[in-house]
Amino acid sequence: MTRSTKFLLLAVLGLLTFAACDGPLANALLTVDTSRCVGCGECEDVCPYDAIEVIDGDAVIDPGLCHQCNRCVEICPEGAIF
Amino acid sequence: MKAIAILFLLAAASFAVNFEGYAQMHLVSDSINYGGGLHNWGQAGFRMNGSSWDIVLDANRVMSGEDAVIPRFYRNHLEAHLESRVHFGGFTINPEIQLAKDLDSAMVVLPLSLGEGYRNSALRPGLSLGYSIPGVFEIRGSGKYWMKDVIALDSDIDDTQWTDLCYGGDVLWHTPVGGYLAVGGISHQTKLDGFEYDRSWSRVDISAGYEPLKFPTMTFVTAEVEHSIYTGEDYTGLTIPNRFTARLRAVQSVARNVMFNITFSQAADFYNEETRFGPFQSAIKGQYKFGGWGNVPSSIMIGGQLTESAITTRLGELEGRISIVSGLSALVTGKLWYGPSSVEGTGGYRTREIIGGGLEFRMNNGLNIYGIYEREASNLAPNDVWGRIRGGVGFYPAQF
Repeated sequence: MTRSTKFLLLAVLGLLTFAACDGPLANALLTVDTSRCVGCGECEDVCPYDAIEVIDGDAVIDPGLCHQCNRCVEICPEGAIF
Repeated sequence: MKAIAILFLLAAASFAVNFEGYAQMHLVSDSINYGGGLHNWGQAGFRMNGSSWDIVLDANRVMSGEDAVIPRFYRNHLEAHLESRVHFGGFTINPEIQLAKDLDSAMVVLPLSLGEGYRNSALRPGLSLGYSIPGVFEIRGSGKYWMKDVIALDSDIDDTQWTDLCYGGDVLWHTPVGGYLAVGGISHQTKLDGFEYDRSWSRVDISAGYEPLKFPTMTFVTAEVEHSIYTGEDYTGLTIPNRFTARLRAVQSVARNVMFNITFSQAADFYNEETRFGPFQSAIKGQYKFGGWGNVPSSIMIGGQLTESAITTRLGELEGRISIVSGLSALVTGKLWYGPSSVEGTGGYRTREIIGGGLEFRMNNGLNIYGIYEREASNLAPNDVWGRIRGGVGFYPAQF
């Protein structure tokens, strides 16, 4: 999906129009899709930085500790971290 | 007289108590890393509840080897989580405590560049308080405090306490026109005794959403937007950008036994001088249910997902459960996955093609046994195809 398609999607949704959404993709924070996360804890076990904990059935990533090594992304059986 | 009244109340309460227990054990073994790649875990627990309270205890034992395909540290620990909820009026009080004891010291990477360390144990008490008027208003507050007993390896300071404090709360209003507005916040502080390491970040979330909107075409739509304002730094000392996220979820029922679930999510990150795209996700899942024996229907699920952030992942999946005779089902699984990799020889990205099949047996008394064989093909240089066996036994629920 191209960037312009993403823009169009957001505009169609009427949610917000970004005035200056240009440049590379963000690299700051990983995201957990809570509708896919089953709370199995695989990400918690593989994270070398102790940056993930499963709370109330969903994985929660501490942005202050996450080093973006992406091991949680790689191991998640549900594809819930991106 | 008072004592008799209390005894009467206790006796009455004891008659109203339900008790459910469960136990599970899972074992996974990979032929590519036999032994070292082993990851097995066992779980047991119970739940007791009365009319206005419940107590849940979960205990896990996890053992995972360090030589698995994805680099991980060797871990062998016990975890216990005790949680209680008390309801009265619209109020909820939820105290909890989590305890982890490492049977062999578990290696972790310390924050920033303080090197590696061994974790001996961890303790995390927590408390949540809430009040709600169903369908109108909710207010919640919670706090958690982590205490990790750590031995630092690359420093003169041996024993240290790695502590995290997290607290926050939110207020949510269900508007009369069907949507909701919410404001919440969270604050997180991490400290390492002796290292003069003290970092904190906090976030304020403002969100709005429209809860399931039903169309005559049997379509249910949920739309949400959220803006998070961050204060503080990530592990590199860089400012965490503010983030705006928009989500759309739709469930389309085609027939009584055919359903599609579609989601879109796009974030934008606001840095000081520019705005960048944040993570994007789109996914679709279709499920078809048919036949079956008793309360175990046969089903087939086909799904696909695309995500883009600093990394890109693609996932195609198929899962099937075909009920053969009462209690016995055949399992089918298939996955195509493309995503980032920390495995040497993959060039930073790894493809996985998984196909497998197995059997599951569910008995009326709650006993559940399953075994599945999976064949995985990958772009790993020395070992591109291997097999894996997953199996487990569970007993849930056990009523008393």
